[in-house]
Amino acid sequence: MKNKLNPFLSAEEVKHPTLFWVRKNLFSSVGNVILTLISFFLIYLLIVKGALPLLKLDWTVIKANMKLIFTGSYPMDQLWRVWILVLYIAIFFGLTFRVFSIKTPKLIFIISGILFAFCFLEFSVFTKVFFVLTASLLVGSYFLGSLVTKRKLTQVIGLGWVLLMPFSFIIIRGFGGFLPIVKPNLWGGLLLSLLISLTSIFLSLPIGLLLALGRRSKMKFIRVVCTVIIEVVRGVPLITILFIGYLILPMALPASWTPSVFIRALAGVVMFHSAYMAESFRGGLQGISVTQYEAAKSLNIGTVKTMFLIILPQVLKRMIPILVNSFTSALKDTSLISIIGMLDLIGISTSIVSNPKYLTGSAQVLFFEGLIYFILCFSISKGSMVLEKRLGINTKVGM
Amino acid sequence: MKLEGKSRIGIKSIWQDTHRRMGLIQFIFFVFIIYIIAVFTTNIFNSLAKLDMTLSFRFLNNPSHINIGESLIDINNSSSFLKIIFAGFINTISITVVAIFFSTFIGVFIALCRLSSNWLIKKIAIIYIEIIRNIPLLLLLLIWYRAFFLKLPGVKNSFAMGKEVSSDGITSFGFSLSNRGLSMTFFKPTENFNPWLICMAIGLILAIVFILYLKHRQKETGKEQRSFLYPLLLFIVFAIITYFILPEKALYKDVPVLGKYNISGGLHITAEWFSLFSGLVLYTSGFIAEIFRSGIQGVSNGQIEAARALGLSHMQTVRLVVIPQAKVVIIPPLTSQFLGVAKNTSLGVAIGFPDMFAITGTIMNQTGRTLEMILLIMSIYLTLSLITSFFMNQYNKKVQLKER
Repeated sequence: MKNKLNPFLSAEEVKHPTLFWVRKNLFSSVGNVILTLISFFLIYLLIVKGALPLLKLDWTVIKANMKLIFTGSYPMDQLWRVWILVLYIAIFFGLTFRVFSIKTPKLIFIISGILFAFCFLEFSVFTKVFFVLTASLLVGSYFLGSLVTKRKLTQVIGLGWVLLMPFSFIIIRGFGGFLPIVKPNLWGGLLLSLLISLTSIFLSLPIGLLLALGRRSKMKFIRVVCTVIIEVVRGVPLITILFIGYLILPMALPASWTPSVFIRALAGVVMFHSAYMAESFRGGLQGISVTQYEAAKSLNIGTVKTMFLIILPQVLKRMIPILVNSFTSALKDTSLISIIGMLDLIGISTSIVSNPKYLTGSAQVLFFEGLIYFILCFSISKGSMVLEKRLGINTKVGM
Repeated sequence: MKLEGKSRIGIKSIWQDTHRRMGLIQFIFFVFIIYIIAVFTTNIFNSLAKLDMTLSFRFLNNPSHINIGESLIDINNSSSFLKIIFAGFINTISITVVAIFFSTFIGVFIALCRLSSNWLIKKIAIIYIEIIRNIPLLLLLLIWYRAFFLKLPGVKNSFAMGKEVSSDGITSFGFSLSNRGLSMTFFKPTENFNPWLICMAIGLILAIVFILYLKHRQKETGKEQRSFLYPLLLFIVFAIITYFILPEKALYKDVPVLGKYNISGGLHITAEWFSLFSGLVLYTSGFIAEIFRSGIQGVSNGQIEAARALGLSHMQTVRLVVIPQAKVVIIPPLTSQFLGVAKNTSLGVAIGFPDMFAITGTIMNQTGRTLEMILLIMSIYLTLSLITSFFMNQYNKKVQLKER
């Protein structure tokens, strides 16, 4: 209907819009026809040689090890704590959607729909209850979010995401008296990967900021030290940094204090990400015009106050999408902790396959884990794009 | 300001004088850093002393008794530690160079697909890029190694092309793919290789002279010369002609042959090498494609329209307007990707490829010389990245001057 009123469309396009589209986008020239045929052949190959053999594989190994893949050897009777964390994330996810989306987002209903659909698969009643709870909290928080003003809601979700790291540690590790303590060596699978990347982002944020400020400082000695630290860490592979954390750190600390493997792995990841975070901060700081500093100076505002009250708020706002995106690279990078023997998402695959029952399951487990990584990283990076648009930041020009 | 600072004495005056204050802060920072370094080193030396060890690199000359799966230089059981680390270094460098070469080509190809007007091919390129960018490299490597190579049949039942069984029962292949890796027919240098090598060197010199001549002519006449294509053709033709003119052939055909347990001869690529290589190429090409795409899209449409309006052909527009401008944007992130490839080869340790990092890891396990090995490998990687960034800066200066 709309097409008929558009004067820029040819008669053919109005008559057969689909046919016109196909001709324009797939068969416009001889070269294009060849390209289309090649791509059809590629798709055919992918389906016949790639996807079909995969579907024929025995996927029971995933079904049997679902719990291991997601939480490692976290105690069964404490599993509800992990679910509480999921619920926490679901609530703030729904609220974030309320703030940042203009139309009613389809995505939130798709996710809850999938979660509901999971209830018809073979899961325990316990799991099903939490699936339903998560789905309803997701939708519920989205609609309940409209009760509060947008300004307040923004503050609430900001606080919620900032508190995610401490909250997850409290709930997963437990604290004296109330929750029995579950030691980090029992954490594993996706839970461990997520916790380590989350923590490393949170800890590398202040360290990276300090390093970036040091690198831009007028004081030569501080500048040189910070530059050297950043460049050394960025110049070597992550795995060397992990080995430093794993093997050298216990040597360098006083003999009375030997950190656990978890802390050592975390230290390595944090060291690594701080250097990269420092570079992101440097980019953000460079985007701030000199006039801001000059204006602050002319108003007789001190250096420290200028930094914390004028410059950093602007930098941080610009950096929200970059921070969200750096979570994906953190998530991907933490996969390396499996090399130093941690049972994260990749490390757990080795231990699953070493079970004689599932010797042939390595391909299935690896593909399933790839799917998990893809879904997480893809949605986070898409989310950061949306954030970038909504916050009105044009990083391309600003940086 | 200086006068003011001198006239007043006391802590407050030091704090109010910018120079003195900065000096004071730096001094405190200096003391702090020195303190931390001192504590760390004393702790490290204490823990070394507990293990009856001292920090020394002298053990590097001892025989290592380590067997390496594959190496491009000649090593054996009694080679020194230094030599096997060098073998690992060569492995790292060789795989890096080959992977960079292939991933750049594939990356450019995918970027072109991504920019194509064909809807289907564009979507395929986008899906490829998104999948690759959102999966950890380690997982890609493991999928290649565990889910692909280790699932292949053994050498006896390998996927083969050009399989021939001679009368005395020897099986030879043109190409074979098994869980040990890839084997294919390859041309190898004979003893008479050197004369041809000299001929090729002469050809190279001729080509360079030709390039210089063409550049000179372009400056003199102002006419555009194909200053790269023709010299390249010259070199290739020269190499082919001299190969056939020389009385003794410089290359011979080496065919892989099935032995009792393994395939020997020909070009053999181990499963580990190929897994690491293909994982790196897949991963890096996804990122390189995005770098090229954003570089090409960064050239404003007005530039292209202006070039077309001036009567430049499509190819000329690309060659003379788009590429020179895109180059400036593309090259810095591209180099950091290349450095990333060199760093990422260290992941070979997860699939058992003996790169520099895997070998130092083995040495750490055998000798307990953790600190020395980590210092060594860090310094090697740092030297690599320093050299690269030095050349990068030189190049950047050159490119940016041209732009003005």
